Amino acid sequence: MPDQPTGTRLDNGFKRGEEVEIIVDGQPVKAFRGETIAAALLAAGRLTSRTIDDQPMGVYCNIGLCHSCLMTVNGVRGVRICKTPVSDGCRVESQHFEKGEQ
Amino acid sequence: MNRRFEVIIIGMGPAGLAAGVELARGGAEVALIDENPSPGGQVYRRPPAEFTLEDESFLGLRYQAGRRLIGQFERWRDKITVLNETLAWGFFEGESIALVQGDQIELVGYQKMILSEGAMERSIPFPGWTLPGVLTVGGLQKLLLQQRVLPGKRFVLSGASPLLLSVAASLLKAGGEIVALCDATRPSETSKLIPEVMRQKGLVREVLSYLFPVIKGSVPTHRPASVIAASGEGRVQEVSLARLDDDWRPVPGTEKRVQTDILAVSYGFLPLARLTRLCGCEHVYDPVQKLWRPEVDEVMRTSLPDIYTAGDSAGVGGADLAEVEGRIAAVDILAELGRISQAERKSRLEKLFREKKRINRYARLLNRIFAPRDGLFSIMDEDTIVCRCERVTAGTVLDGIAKGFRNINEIKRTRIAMGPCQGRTCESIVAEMMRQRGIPVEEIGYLRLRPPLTPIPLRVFESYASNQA
Repeated sequence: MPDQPTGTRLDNGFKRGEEVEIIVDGQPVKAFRGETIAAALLAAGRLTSRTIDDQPMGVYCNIGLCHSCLMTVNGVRGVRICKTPVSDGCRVESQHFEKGEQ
Repeated sequence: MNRRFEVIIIGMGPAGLAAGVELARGGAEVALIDENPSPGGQVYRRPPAEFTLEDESFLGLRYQAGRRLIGQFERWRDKITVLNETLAWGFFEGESIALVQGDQIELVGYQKMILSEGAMERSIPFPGWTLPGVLTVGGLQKLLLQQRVLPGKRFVLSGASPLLLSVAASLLKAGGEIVALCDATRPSETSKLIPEVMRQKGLVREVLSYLFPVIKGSVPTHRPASVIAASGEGRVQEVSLARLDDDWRPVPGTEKRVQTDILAVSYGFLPLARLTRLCGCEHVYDPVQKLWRPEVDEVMRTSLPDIYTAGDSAGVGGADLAEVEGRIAAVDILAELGRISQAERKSRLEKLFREKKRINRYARLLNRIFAPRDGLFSIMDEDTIVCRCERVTAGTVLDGIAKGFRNINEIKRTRIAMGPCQGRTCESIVAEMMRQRGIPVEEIGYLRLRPPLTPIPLRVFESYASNQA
């Protein structure tokens, strides 16, 4: 596995919401209230949200249009993580599909 | 009991907000509807309410220009019905639009409707563009400015779009390293913008605020050039770039490889004219920008007399043009509703038309300079994904064309546009592939859309049906 570069939270000029923890595929990931799930995952260097035929995909348009970032959130499938804010303890799971199955 | 308003406006970007303010000021009963929690559209969106802003300067001059319009809206807000986090997903006979808010479906009636859905970035595929870590430039901008997350250390930006420069500046300010900036245009082309930039209010300052950091940061800039491939283990790690010829075809032998954490691409914008299509408005093809847009008259009225469209969804022209178009539509509607006299309509429209003309000269030039040229569509190979949702390759689409599919709705049999995004990303790509293989654009046409425009869980329909029973 190559070295995975992580993201950075920029903190000048404002304060984020309270720190929370989300559970991504069973692993705790740090997040802050107000962040989208997509932002929290990208800050943690986690770029893949789903696979189709074993090919990974992640956040692409980041405005809710391309549907590339769909994940399962608290048991609900097909959630656009770029539009969905984090909440404490929310469970986020990768989705794996074969073509035409979604 | 379903609600009914004199005027419904879909979309709270600059066009929708300006129209809403004009209509409320004129005494009309107006509802503003938007999918997002706060007003402003993509261009003027604030960071989330949970973030406390101490200094707004990092949001840039464009955002600060938007504060003025949002301020006007706030002053009229109690005269406007605002439905946030509400999605318009269907259109039904008898002038009603179908909305969903959370799990609640509602059909809302109107006398006049303005559709201001905005725009989305155009995608042009290249090998590796579906890898995680490849984002749109606009998507990266949202991450930087609204979420304040820098998603890596090294960045490559590529495309043909006025956004490239502004996002490059935001990236540098955020501490990102731009390892390559590939711009398909030539400096001799973009320099034609200078006289027009000087004619627009506040634009010189805005452009310089983007240009200075890029020059000062000695960003490795390649022009005219483009990324032609991305590769990596599970995420983008390396990109290939190449010089482009006058048709924006890569010049063989000029390829360079660059290591990066993130690649952001932008090829200009497409009108998000989804509801105008669903409602059955006529659309016209723009051969310069290679896109369909709603047909409108001088007051932004579509082919359906009670439906108007304004802003980028009526033809991409940016935030300032959107605001003027929103006001134009609103003034015409106020006259239609009998709230202002014909004389007042005429004098207010004349002023707005003059303003529109001035902005349009700049917007049209921008559109011409950044319009995607044919050669960019030669970068994909047979195995390149065209439809991200269903992972349909260029080879499969070409087979479909060879089989005789000549209409975009027929070629859906290759499964393009059948996934959850419903063709938002791939439609313009497939249409252009068909056009470049000799099919007339009138025959290709555009996707017939059906409700719901965005996936809605079945249980929401079930609960609506049981409440109606």
